Amino acid sequence: MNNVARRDQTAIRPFQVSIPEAVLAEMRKRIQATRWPDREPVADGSQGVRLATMREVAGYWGTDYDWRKCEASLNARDRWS
Amino acid sequence: MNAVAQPKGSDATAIRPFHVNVPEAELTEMRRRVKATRWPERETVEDQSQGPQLATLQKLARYWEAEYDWRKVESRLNALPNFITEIDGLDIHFIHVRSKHKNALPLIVTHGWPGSVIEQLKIVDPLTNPTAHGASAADAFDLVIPSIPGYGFSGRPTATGWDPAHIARAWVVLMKRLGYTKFVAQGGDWGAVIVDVMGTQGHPELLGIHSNMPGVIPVDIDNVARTGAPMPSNLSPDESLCYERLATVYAKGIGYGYQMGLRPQALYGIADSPVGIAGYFLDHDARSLAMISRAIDGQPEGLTPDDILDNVTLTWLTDTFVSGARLYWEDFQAQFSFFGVKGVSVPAAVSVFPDELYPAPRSWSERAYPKLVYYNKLEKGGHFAAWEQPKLFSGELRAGFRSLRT
Repeated sequence: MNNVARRDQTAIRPFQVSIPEAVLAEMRKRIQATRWPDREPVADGSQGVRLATMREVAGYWGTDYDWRKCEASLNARDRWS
Repeated sequence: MNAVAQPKGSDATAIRPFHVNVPEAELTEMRRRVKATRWPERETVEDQSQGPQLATLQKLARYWEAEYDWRKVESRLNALPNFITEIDGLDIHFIHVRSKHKNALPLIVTHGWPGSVIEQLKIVDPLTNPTAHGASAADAFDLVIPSIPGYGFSGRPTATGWDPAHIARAWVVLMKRLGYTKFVAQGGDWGAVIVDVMGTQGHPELLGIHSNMPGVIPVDIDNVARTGAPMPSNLSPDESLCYERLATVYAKGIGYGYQMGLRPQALYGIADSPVGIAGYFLDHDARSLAMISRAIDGQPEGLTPDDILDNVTLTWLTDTFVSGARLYWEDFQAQFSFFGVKGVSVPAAVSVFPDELYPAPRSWSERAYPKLVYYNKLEKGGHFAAWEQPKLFSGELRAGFRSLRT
């Protein structure tokens, strides 16, 4: 996201991840606005990820999940693009 | 979806009048989602080999959000007699138009994927009112156009088992419930599979079928085409052409069929996005995509941007993307080939439109349908024949079924 072009394109440039808060807010808004299909008509995962599973993931993702923890661990050591 | 049907009485098998009336708030919400679409970058090729092109979808979305008027097709739907009745525990929606002409032949016409009864709206008057379209009263039909389970205004199955064979049997129940003891059936795409299967089930009421995507590919040829093995050497020129087209379909097309056949429930993102549905629906096959893309670019031929958006919008508003996708899963369980011979025993009529997935040769049609009563190759038209070329298509049904009238 934040890589800055240098004159020498083959240079190895330090890189840090820093997602704007607005992007995360927009993602949470979209998750919360999801229109869900019906429950699968089977009692297992044979038609794909089950509705209840997806809704549980989305319920957590749209509220309590914290991207910044992942971002921090990505940025914790020197990272190279 | 707040379409209005009369409440169920004590008799679930009653035939209930139905009207479409989408609340304005749902249309506003749809437009909001279209406008809020997050787009991928432009495709990395100069053609449609990666799917519908970004510029095409963006042009369609701009029109959809700013100018498209759902109320026009809603009025066209409501101008026809719509009904719902319950079959095997599921609400089945259908359009039912009786001809004013005596001795009209009862006909049930079935849409496909990605489709709905909107595919058939242009053929209603030509088939039921032939004298207004330069045809004879003797060629009139009483017309029934059902919505496949999980599509449009029919119910969305909550249990497995609504495969083409079940749908075929349900259509016979529907026709008998309407009082038709002898009738014919027509279909393209899934409708073609359904009428083929109906023609194998030994229904004494079924006088014959017409298909514009006839299941005529010999089983061994179908298997070879699917695996990409070299073309058998003993084919005639017409058979070779059909084989080449079919092998290309298997190798380069119908990826969506495998996705929906194996994992329909995985398509959460598409069910959540009007543009997602449009992007998937435009890509049924390469020739249809090319034709639809030209139409969106200002050269309508067969289908218009409004035609396309009517069908996509209906699917969005009825929230039937995933329930419709499940028909592929059901078919994968039942293992009916889309294109292969199924053992039809009733009289059959075949119309070959040049831009269909494959041009069914007469030789294979005669083998697949021992009682082939009609075979004709058209000069133009493609996979969505009833929708693209309603005049030609109506003529084919009149000619194809003529010998089955008493």
